[in-house]
Amino acid sequence: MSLTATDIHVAFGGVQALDGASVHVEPGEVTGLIGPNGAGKSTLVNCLTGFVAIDRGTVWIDGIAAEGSSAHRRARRGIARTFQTPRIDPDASVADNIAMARHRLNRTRLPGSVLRTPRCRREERGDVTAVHEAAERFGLTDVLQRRGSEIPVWQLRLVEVARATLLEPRYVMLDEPAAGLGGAELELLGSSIRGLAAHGLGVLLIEHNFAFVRQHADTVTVLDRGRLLATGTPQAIAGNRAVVDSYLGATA
Amino acid sequence: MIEFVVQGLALGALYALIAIPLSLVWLTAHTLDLAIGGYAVMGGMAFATASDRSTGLALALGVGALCGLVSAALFVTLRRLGATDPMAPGLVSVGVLIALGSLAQAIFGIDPAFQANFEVPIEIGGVRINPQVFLNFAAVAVILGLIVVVLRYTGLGRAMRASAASPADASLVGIGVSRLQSLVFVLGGMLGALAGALLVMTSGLSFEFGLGLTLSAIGAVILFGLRGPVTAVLGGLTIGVVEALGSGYAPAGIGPAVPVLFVFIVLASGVFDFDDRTVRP
Amino acid sequence: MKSLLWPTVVLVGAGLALVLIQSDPSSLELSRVAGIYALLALSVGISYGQAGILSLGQAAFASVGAYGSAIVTTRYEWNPWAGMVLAMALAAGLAYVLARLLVRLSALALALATLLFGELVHFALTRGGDLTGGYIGLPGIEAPAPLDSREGTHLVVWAVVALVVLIATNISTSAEGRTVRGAASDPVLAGSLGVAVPVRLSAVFALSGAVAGLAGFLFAHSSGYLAPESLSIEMSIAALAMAVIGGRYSPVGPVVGALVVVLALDLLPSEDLAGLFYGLLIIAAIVLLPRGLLGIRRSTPVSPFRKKASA
Ligand SMILES: Nc1ncnc2c1ncn2[C@@H]1O[C@H](COP(=O)(O)OP(=O)(O)OP(=O)(O)O)[C@@H](O)[C@H]1O
Ligand SMILES: [Mg+2]
Repeated sequence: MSLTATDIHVAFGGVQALDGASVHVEPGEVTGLIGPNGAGKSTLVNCLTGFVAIDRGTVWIDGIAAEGSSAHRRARRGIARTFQTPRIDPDASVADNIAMARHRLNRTRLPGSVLRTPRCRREERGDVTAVHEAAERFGLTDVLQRRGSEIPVWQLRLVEVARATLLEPRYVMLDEPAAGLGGAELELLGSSIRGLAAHGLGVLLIEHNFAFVRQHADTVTVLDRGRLLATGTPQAIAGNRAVVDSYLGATA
Repeated sequence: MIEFVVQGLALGALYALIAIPLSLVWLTAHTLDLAIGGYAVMGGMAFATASDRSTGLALALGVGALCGLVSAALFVTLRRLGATDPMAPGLVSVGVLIALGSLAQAIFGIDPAFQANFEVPIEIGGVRINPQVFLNFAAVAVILGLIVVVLRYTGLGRAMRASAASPADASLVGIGVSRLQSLVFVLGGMLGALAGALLVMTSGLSFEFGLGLTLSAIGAVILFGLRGPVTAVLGGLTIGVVEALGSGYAPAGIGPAVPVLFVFIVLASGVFDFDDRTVRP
Repeated sequence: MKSLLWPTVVLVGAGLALVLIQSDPSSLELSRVAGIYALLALSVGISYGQAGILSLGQAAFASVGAYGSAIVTTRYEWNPWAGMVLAMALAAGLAYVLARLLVRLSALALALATLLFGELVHFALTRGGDLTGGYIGLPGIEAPAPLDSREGTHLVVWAVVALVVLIATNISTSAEGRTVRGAASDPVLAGSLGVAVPVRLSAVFALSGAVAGLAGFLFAHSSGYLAPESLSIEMSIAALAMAVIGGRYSPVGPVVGALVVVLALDLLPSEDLAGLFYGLLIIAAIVLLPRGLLGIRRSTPVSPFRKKASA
C-alpha cells in the first residue's frame, strides 16, 4: 500500500522536465519533495495525479500501474492534490468552492437533484457539516460566505488544502501550500499536515522552506533538473553534500 | 469531373474573398465576424438593383462599408464595455447576420438575383468553362496580393500584426488599436459586398444565403488553422471544390450540406480550436 | 429555493388568470407561443447558465423532438403521449452525444458547432423525403385531449413551464448544480476533485435538450402541422436572446425574457421583420446588458449554505 513513481521521464517540447525521477509516498507519513526552481517537482505531482502524460516510467497506486487512468479517476481512487497556483471559482462562495470536493463521496447526480430525493437532501446536509468542520480546522469560518475572488492568495492556499482533505483521500499532494503564509497560519498548516498523516494519509509536501520540511516530514526526496538527487530522513538530507551544494547551500 | 472542379473554384474564390477579412478580423480583433455572409447578401442584392455594373459595384461597396461600420462600432463598444473574450462580439455578429438577412428580404424582396456576365461558356481543351471563373480569380488574386503587401511591407501592416500579438503593446507604441480594428471590419464589409456582387454574376444570390456563406467562410478560415489570409484563400478554394464535388457526386440533394458537414467534422474532431484549452495545471 | 418559488407562482398564476379572464382566441394563441418560447429559453438557461454550454441550436433539438413525435403518431399511429416521451428521449440522446463530442472545445468553437448542427438538422428535415415531408412538412398532426382546445393548450403549456422552472431551480440550488458550474468554470480543478467533467456537463445538456424536445412536441401537437421552418435557426437565436435578457442564471429569468420578447414581437407590423427584430434583440441583449452576458454573478449559493449565513 503506497503511492510510488519510478523512473519517470517527461519532456515538454525540448525541455526534459523529468529525467528518471522517482518518489515514494507511504500512508501515515509525510514525504517532503524539494529541489531548485524548475527541478520538476510540480511536474512529478502532475504525473502522479494524471494531469501530465508520462513518456517513460510508471506510477503505482497501491501496487497497480496507473497507466491510462485519467485525472478524475485517480482523484476518485483517493489521490487529492492542490495546485501551486491556487485554482478557485471566483464567482462561487468559498463554501461552495470547498464543497465541490464532496462530489466524490456523494452519490446524487442530476436525476436525484432534479427530483430532490431524500438522499439528495441528506447528502446536502452532510456537505454543510463537512464544510464547516473543514473550515474550522483551517481557520476559514469567517470567509466561507465570501466569493473566491475576494480572498487573498495565502488564504486560497488554505482553501485548497481544506478542499483536498474534504475529498477524504488516501494520498494528498500539496504543491507549496505554505508559500506566503505567516507564523500563525504556518503553525496551523504544519499541525494539520501532521494530523492528516496521523489519520493514515500519505502526504506529499512540496516546499522551498527547508526548516518547515525538516520539522514536518518523515522522509525527504530531492529533485534536481528532473533527476532524483537524494532521498532519506530530513537529518540525512541536511547533511548530504550533493544536496547542500546544489540546493540547500547556506540555508541548511 | 473537371467541370465540377472549375465550378467549385469559381465559388471557392468567392468564399476565399470573404474568408480573407475573416482571418484579418481574427488577427487584429481576436474574434470572428460571423456577419460576413450578411454583408455579401446586402452588397450583392444592392448590386443587382443598379442599372449598370459600375454603379452597381459602387453601390455594393458603399452598402458593404456601411454594414462593416456598424459592426465595427458594435465591436469597439463591446471592448470598451470590457468584453475580452471572442465570444461576446462573435454572438453580436450572429445578431447582425440575422438582422441583415431579414433587412435584405424587406428591402430587396424574396426573388433571387442572377445576372450572368457571359452568355456562353468558352471551351478549353474540351472543358466548358464559364469565363466568370477568371474574373473571380482575378479579384481574389489582386486583393490577396494587396493585403499581403500591406501586411508585410507597410507600417499599417506592422501595426496590425502588433495588435494581433498584443493589443496592450500596440497601444503603448501609439497605434490606435480600435481604429485599426474598425478599419478591418469595414474592409470586411466591402470585401463581403464585392463577393456578393460577384456571386450575383456567378450563380445567383438570395436573401437567405447569409448563414450559408458565413459557414463556408468559417470553414475556409479554420481548415488550415486560422493563420492568415493566404491559408484562408486556400481554405476557401478547398471548400468550394468540396461543395461542387458534393453536389455532383453525393447522393441526391445532400450536396449543399457537404461543406457544413465538412466544417462540423473539422470542429468536432478538435484538430482546430479558437483558444488553446490545454491548461498547465 | 423558497425565494424563487413564490415569484414564480405569482407570475404564472397572474398570467393564467389574465388570459383566462380575457380568453379571446388571439390572446390564447399569443400565450401558447410565449409558453413554447419560454420552454426553449429555459432550455438555454439550463445549458448555458449552468453547464456553460452556449447553444445556437436549441430549436434543432425542438425540431428533432417534434418531428419524431409527429412521424410516429401520423405514420405509425402511436399514442401522442408516447410520442411525447419519444420526443424528449430523442432530443436528450442527441444532445448528450453532441455534448460528449464537443464539450472539450473552447466556448466559441462549441457555439459554432451547435450552429452547424442546427443547419445539418435543417438539411436533413428538408431532404427527408416522405418521412419528413420535405420542404412542405407534416400536416394533420393529432392534438391529444387537453391540447385540442385553446384553453386546454394554454393551461398545459404553462403548467409545463412552471414544472421546468421548478426543475431549473432544483438544479441551480443543488450540489449537482454547484459541481456543474464549477466544472464549466474550471475543468482542471473539477477533474482534480474527481468530477468526470464531460459526463456531468453533457448530462445537463441532455436535460436541456429534453426540455427543448418537449417544447417541440407541444408545438407540433398544438399546431397540427410541422415544417422545417417551424422551429428555425431564428428561433434558436431568439431563445438565446430571451434567456440572456431575462437572466440566464436565474431559473425564472428566461420565462420573463420570453414574455417580454413575444409581447414586443406581437406589436411588430410585419412577420417578415422578425429576423431583424431577433437580430437587434441579441445585439441589444449583449451590448446593453453586458452584465447579463459578460459578468453577472454566475453562482447561486447552494441553499443550505445561504441559510446558515442568514441565520
Ligand atoms: N506544461 C508545460 N509545458 C512546457 N513546459 C513545462 C510545462 N510544465 C512544466 N514545464 C517546464 O518543466 C520544467 C519543470 O517545471 P516544474 O514546474 O515541474 O518545476 P518545479 O520544480 O515545480 O519548479 P518551482 O519550484 O518553480 O515550482 C520547467 O523548466 C518548466 O518550465
Ligand atoms: Mg512547482
